[in-house]
This record gives sequence, C-alpha cells and structure tokens, in this order.
Amino acid sequence: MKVALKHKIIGITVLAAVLPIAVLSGLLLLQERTLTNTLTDDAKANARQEASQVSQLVYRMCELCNQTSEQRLKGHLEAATAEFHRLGPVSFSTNRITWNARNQNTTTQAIPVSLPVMMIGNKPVTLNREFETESPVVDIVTKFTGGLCTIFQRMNPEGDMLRVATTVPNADGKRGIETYLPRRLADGQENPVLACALRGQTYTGRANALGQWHAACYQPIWDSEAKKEVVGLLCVGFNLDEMSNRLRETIRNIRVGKSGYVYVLYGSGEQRGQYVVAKDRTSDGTNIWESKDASGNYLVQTAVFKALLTTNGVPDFERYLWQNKDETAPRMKIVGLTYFAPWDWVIGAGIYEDDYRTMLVKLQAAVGRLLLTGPIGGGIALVLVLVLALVLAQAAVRPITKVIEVTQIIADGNLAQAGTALEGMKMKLNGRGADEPAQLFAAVSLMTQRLGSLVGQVQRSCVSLVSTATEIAAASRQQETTVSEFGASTHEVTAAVKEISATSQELAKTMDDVKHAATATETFADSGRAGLGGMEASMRQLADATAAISGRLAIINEKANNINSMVTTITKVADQTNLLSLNASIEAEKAGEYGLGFAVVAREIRRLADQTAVASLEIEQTVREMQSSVNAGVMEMDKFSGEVAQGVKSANEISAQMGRIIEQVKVLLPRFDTVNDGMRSQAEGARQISEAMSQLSAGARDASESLKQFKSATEQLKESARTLQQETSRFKV
Amino acid sequence: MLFITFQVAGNRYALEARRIIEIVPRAALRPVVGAPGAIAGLLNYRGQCVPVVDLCQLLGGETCNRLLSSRLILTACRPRSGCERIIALLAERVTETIARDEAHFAQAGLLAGTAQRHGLLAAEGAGFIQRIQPETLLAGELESLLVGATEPGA
Repeated sequence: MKVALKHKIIGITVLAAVLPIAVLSGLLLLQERTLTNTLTDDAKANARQEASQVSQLVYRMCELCNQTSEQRLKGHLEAATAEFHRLGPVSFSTNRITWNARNQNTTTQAIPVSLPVMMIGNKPVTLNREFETESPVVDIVTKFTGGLCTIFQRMNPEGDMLRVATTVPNADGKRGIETYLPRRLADGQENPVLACALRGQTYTGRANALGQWHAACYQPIWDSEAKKEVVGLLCVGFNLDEMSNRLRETIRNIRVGKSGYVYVLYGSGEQRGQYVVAKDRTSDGTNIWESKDASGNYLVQTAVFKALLTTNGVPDFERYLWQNKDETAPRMKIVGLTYFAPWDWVIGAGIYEDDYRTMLVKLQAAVGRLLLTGPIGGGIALVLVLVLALVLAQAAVRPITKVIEVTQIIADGNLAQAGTALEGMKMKLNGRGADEPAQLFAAVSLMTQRLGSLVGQVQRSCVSLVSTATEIAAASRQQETTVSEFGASTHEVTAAVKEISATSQELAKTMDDVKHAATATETFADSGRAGLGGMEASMRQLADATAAISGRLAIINEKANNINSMVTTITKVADQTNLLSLNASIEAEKAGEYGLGFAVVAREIRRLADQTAVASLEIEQTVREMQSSVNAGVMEMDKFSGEVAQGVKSANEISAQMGRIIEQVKVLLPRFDTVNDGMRSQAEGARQISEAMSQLSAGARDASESLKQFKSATEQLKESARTLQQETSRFKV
Repeated sequence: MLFITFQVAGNRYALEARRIIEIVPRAALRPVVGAPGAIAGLLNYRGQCVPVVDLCQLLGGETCNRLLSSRLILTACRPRSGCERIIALLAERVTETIARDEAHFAQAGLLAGTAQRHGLLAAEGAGFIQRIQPETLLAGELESLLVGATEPGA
C-alpha cells in the first residue's frame, strides 16, 4: 500500500506521543504489587536495624560507664591502701569496745558485741558516729578521692564483718557504723563479698551498703605479715545510684523511630522484671514480670529470657503487642534486646510497626494516583498532537513537490533551465528562514551548480585520459622487457642457494662427527677415573700393610726387651754363683787338707759361672744389634708409609682433575647439539630460500603474463575514455 | 796359699783367703757424717755394725764403680793395740782366686815406706799383683778411728 509522505509524518508523531504513556501505565500496573512488597520488607528491615543499633548503643554506653567506674574504683583502692600502709601495721590492743551490731540487710534488733580495739599503727579505731570527729584512714581517703571508704572488723569466727569506721552515711546522716555484713544471707546463701574476702582475695563489683547500691572494692586486712587470718576488710566505693540516675535519664530520652523508646529491666534475682528505666519516670521500679498479652503469653518473660542468651551486646529480637499506659489500644512493636551482665540490665529498644506502616499507606496512594492520571493525560496529548501533525505535514510536503519538478529538469540534462527555475523559487522561499525544505532547495541549487562544473571538468578530463592511456601502453611494453630480465637473474640466485644448502648439510654432518669424538673422550676420561679409583684402593691396601708391618716390628722390639731382661737375670745368677764359689773356696782354704776336694768343686763352679756370664754378654750384644735393625726398619716403614699417603693424595688430585675434564666435556656436548641444530636450520633456511626463488621465478613469468593482459586492458581503457567523451557531450553547460 | 784377687783403680791386688770371713754383695750402706772420704759407711752384717772402707778411695782417690763385681770383703782386723774387729773392704772385680806360694810375693825394693804400707808385689801375667795386709793398709789415724771409736775403754 502506498502511503503519502504527509500521512506517514502524522502517524509517526501520534505513535511517538501515545506509546510511552501506554507502556508506562502497563509497567506501573505490573510492578505495583512487587513495589509495595519491596517497600514493606525494606521498612521492616530498617525498623529492625534501628532497634538493633539503638539497643547496641545503650549496651556500649553502659559498658563505657562500667569501665569508667571500675577505673575510678581502682584509684580509690590504691589511695586507701597507701594511707593504710602509711599509718603502719594492724594490731589489737587489750582494751575492748562494746558495739551494738545490727545486720545491715534486716531490721532485727541489734546485738551487743565486745571486741578488742583495732590499732592501725598507733591509731585506735574507736566508736565514732559523728562526721565532725575524725576517723583514721577513711576520712582522708574520702577527702582525696571523693569516694566512700569503710574499715570492717571481724566479729566472730564465722566471719561476719562489722563496720567500725566509715564515711558511708546512714539514714540519720551520721556515720553508718555498728552495722555488719552477715556471712550468710537471709536465703542461706553465702555472701559473695565475704566468701571472696575470707579467701584472701579482693572483691570488686556491685555491693549493697546500708540499703543503697555501690560500686565497691573489698580488700582483706590480715592479722600479720604471715597472712594467717583475715581480721577485717578495707572497702572503697561510690554510690552507683547517682551515676546511674544520669545514665537512666539519657537512656529515657532516646527515641526509636517516631514513637519507639528504650526500656531497661533487671534480668535476674529478686528484682527480676523490675523497671530500671521505663518510658516515663513515674513507672521506674514497677515490676512487669507477670505482664501478659491478650492470648495470655508472658511476653516480658520471653523477652528477658531471649536477652539473657545474648552476648557482648549482639542483640536478639522479639515482636509483640504492647499497651502503653497513655494509649488506647495495644500496638505491635519490634524490640532489639541485649543484656549487660555486670549490672544485670536487660536493655530493650522498641520500634512500633505502625510508625513505618503509615509511610507505606501514603506510598501506595501515590502509586494509585499515578495509575489514574496517566491514561487521561495521554488522551489530551493525543488530540493536540494530531492537530499539530496535520498543519506541519502540509507545510513540509509542499516545497518537496517543487524540488521534484526541478530534479526532473536536471535529469533531462538541461542544467541551464534548472538553474533558472531554482532562481525563481529561491525568491519565494527567502522569507521562510532555514527550515529543512529551504535547506533542501539550497542543496538542490548548489547541486545543480556543482553538477554543471563537474560535467565540464569530466569532458576536459576525458581528453587527457585518452592521452594518458596511450602513455601507459608504451610504459607497460618497456616493463615487459624488464620482467623477462628479472626472470633470468632469479634462476642464477636459485642455483647459488642450492649450493649453500648442500654445503650446510655437509657441515652439519662434520659437526655430528665432532660430537661423537667428544662423547668418546668423555667415555675414556670416565674409564680413566675408574682406573685411578682402583689405584687409590691399592695404595690404601699398601698403606694398611705398611702399618701392619710397623706393628709387627714394634712387637719384635718388645720381645727383644724381654730377652734383655732375661739376660740380666741370667747375669745376676752367674754373679751370685761366682760369689758363692768364692766364699766356698775361702771356706775350703780355711778347712786346710779337708777342703781340697771342695776347693776344686768351687773352682769348677766359678768357671761355669764365668762362661755363663760370657754367653749372656754375647746374647745381650746380639739382641742389641737386632733392636737397632728393627728400629731402622721401623723408620724405613714410616718413610714408606708417608710416600704411600702422598701417592694416595696425588691419585685423588688426578681423579678430581679427570672429574673436571668429564664435567667440561659434558658441558660441551649440548653445545655441539646447539651448533648442529643451527647448521640444520641454516640448511633448512637455504632450502626455503631456494624454494622462494623458484616461486619468484614463477612470479616473474606470471608478471610478464599480467603485463600482456594489462596492455590489452589499456587499449580497452582508451576505448572507454573515447565513449565517455561522447556521453558527456550530451550535457549542455 | 789361696788368695782372693780384686782390682782398685786399674791395679790388681790380692788378699789371703784365710784372712777373709765372707764376701758379700754390695748392700745399702749407712753413711757416716763427718767421717773421712775413705769410710763409705756402715754395714749391717748379721746384726753387727761393720765399718766399710772404700779401697778405691783409699788407694786411687776415686769412689768404687757400682758394678755387680764390686763386692764387700769382710775381714777380721787385728790392730797393734786393742781387740780384733771386723771391717769390710769395698773393691772392684772381686771374682777370682789364685793359689800362690808365700815366696812368690817379694819386696819391690823401691820406696820401702810405701811398700810397707801397700804390701808385697808379684809379677802376674803382663802386670803386677800386690798382696795387701789390712792392718798396714789401715795404719794411722784411720786405724785409731776405726778401732778406737768402738772400744774407747781398751
């Protein structure tokens, strides 16, 4: 179907106006539910996040306060201990004081107790109720630290501790002495403060003193340096209520969301469920442990139990309906719960769900309105667009029709007539400024001018083209000759390259031979080294043998020494025998005639003794000669042994040198491979060059062929240029 | 007559065997402080205290070598006055006996005083042998020292 340009413009304009509105409306309809759900979830998550952050914030506040108070307490204790030690050691005088001791936790009747007077250095701790009169230690500590200080004295073996000096005031504004800490509490449990102190340890924590809670520190006082018995307590502290009042007001002023708030309950013991911080100050101290919701659930108890399970301020959550005193109906709230154990505080930061519900309802209304107003606005826009489109389309189409007429004149080739027509229209269009139809006219007018000059140029160019084609034909003939010459040169190069390739291969073969020779060298060197190893072993055996011979020679020397000692013995015997025979001869002489026979015997004996002496002398001489020979042998052996060791050392050195040679040859081998590879690749390169040259030669032939074709193409070009000349002459410029 | 021969300072001497009580090996001697050099010390001979005269010192001016053949010759000495007493003579090479007649020893005919003291000479082998008498050998202050010291009352 043919649609006029005018109708197309109208159609596009209307479509452009209607489509976005329709799509937006559809999308809004589709996304409404998802949007609402996302926003609700987001709001819930935000509420939860806020409750969590506030709860955690309060927890950290408490933690900070607690740390501050602990540090303050530490300072107080140091001051008190220093003052105590300054005064001197604790002792008890023989004087006694009767105290009317009253249990600080009950209202029972006071009991009189007689105790020896506690002495700190030389200062007695006496019964002093007035603040105007000074008590030792405690007054100075309070003056310098601003905290409270108390000295307790042990009342009995059970360990009940009596306040004997203190700066803690009682209900009448006097010193709170004559009250005692019982070892056993009313419920039979052991007092944790005393349990710790009587073991000799320092107790730090919350403690009740005369009905008020204090942050306190109890340090045991020993009877002597030996620390056998705890006879009292030194206590420092400060009133926790003062500090916590400020903290409580800060917490009470925190707002969560629009109408949410923070509350604090005690989490355990008798005070369980009792408000520490309520929404309004009047409710502080009220116990809400038994509170139930409409369906009878103990909602406070559930929340407290959840809080007790949290650690280190990481909150848990509870969601329940809660009726405030000043409101008509219960509202659903989400509570972030933490538990600050040092103070037994359950911290709940609650945010009401309807606070964020209101916001959601407003949002949903806004989305509804958007859905309604969208299509109406669309309709109005459509009518306006339609009228506007009609007028604009009319105005746009008219000039184009005129241009079409001019274009047809140009198509006929009558450029001069077209120029005249355009001049006339230009006058008419001058008032219309620079809209698209006017630009179109300007463009067509410009085109006509340019076309005129172009056709003139083409006609001139045709003439020069014909002459150029003739020149090209001449040039290509000359080139043909050059190409055939080039073909001949290529053949020569190919031959040379083939020769190079052959030489390279031969060289590669030679390198292979060299490599084999090197490998053989390595093998010989290896075997040479092995031979040297054998030689070295033989040398070692020789050295061992030499050592063995030396050992034998030493044994011979020892034996010779033994012989020497034997010879000495024989010599001694011979000497004794000689002596004996001498005396025998003397006795025989004295006996006269009767001793003649005996004298002969004695002479014979002496002769034997003399012979023995001579023989032993000879033996001794022989042995001495033998010994000198052995000594010479030993020296020779030592010398030989040294030479053998030298031989072993030399063999080792030669072996090491052999090792180095093998190492070097081994290093050389891969290099041969590298060179060989290089040679091979060179041969390969030469072969490739040869191939390339062949291809080049073929290329030259191809080029020659192409030139011929080119020549014929030039002829055709000449022909075409002539035809073009004829065609352009049709245009009248 | 049987003689025991010995050597002192390279010269041979002889002593009549009958005069000898016993020949004993050289034993540990107790030195005598302040005595002349010729007195080598005291010997415990079978419970008796016997003075030892070093003949090498007396005749040659040198101490005897400590050889196995250096032995002690125990002899009874009869001084001109006083009673008999045992003394030990220390000499070298106390190993041989010779049997000679009394007439074999004669006066050397030279330096009569010396011969009187050292005894009669006899040619023996390539050298001489001299016969000594303990009493003449020890004449003089040595004799009075040896004998008088033990028997002051005599």
